[in-house]
Amino acid sequence: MSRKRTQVSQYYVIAAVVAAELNHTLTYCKQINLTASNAQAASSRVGNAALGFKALTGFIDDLACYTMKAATDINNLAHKASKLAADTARAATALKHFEKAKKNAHEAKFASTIAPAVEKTSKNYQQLQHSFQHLINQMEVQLHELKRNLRTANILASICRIEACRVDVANQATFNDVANRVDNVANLIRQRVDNAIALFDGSSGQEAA
Amino acid sequence: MKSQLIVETPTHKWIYFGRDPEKSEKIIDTNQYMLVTDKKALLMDPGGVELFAPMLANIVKHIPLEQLTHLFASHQDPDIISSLGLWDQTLPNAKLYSPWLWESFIRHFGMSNISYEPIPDEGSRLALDQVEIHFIPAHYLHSSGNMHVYDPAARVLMCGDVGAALEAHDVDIFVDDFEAHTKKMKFFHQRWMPSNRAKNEWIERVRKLDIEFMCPQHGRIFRGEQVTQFLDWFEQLDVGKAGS
Repeated sequence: MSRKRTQVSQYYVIAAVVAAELNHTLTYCKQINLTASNAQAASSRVGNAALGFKALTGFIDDLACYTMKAATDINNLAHKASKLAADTARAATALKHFEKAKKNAHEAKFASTIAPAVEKTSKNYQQLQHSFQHLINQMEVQLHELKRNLRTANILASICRIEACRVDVANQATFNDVANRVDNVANLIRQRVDNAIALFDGSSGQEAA
Repeated sequence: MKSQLIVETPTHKWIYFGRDPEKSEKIIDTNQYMLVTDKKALLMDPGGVELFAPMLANIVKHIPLEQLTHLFASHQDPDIISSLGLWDQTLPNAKLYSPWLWESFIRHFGMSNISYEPIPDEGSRLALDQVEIHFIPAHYLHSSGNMHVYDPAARVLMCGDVGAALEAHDVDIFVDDFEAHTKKMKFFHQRWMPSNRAKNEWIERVRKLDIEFMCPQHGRIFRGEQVTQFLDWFEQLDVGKAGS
């Protein structure tokens, strides 16, 4: 996270792509929610033998809610980052134009009067860059945290399979199916999160825009 | 970029900017005008993003930047005002005067600091130190919300796209041979001006004004009797035509 990142123009594309990737995860979270609800109904039908499994459905539901909130939070950060990046790019463009104007105006009578605008824009640019960097770092931290928490899904799926063994053969398929669904959806979300993280990894160490 | 004094009175002066040799050939050549009073200045149709740096460099040859207090945009086109986002970071306290109709469109160019002063359809007036200028309606010439600037003291009409000509960027800024110049104006006016009715209403309005310099945003400046010559020529021209 201590890497220096100043490729703003690249980062606002990254922010937009991260937002898109996380949008997909929200759909998957809804699938986990549905899976948890179905599992709860199934365990109620089975009765006492499935009490352990019933408790698990609550955890699956919590995981879905956590993932949805985390994805939404990161998504919001990505949208803020996109806007900040656009403002930063605008300030950078202004500085580039000021530089060109200063060069052309070096003999102009009032050339020095450009300085306050340059100074103000330069300060604004640095401030925007700093805020942007902070947001980008926050996004990356939260993406890694989300990825870590997704391991819980695999653990839950494994426990589901263990609990499936406790019920009669007729209902085992239902519970194993829940486990498989949790595993599959968690993998899909992880893939999206990995895609987002890869965007940051692929852009580290770039030169300033 | 060339900058040249057009006219000077005891209270103010008009300065021309344009004919930038470094401008890309793919960008239409534009004329910018600045009215400078004792403590203030109004920059008219500041131009596009590509022209911002040369404009800024040339303005500070004439006035300190803090004296540039007002901007005017005759309408919403990019060659008129797409540099707004950059001026917004340069002149945070400036005021932009432009037709009310285009406010929500022009703001797309980026406008966080400069304040938008909407000009009503019937036009309005603006005082800059002791100088009063008039915003003259020129709707549908070519934009549906369009204004020109008239300065009765200096007898100057900044007439936006009316009087425009398409020619090389290294020519003189004043019309020399009017007849020859009409050939460079004909297509522009027939194609970019959509309405004969709007054209005739504008001509009727402008004939009542005392004009010595008619300053279009493209092409060359008309002086003296060329102003009447232009109005006569424009009056008989059938506009709003695509094709030959």
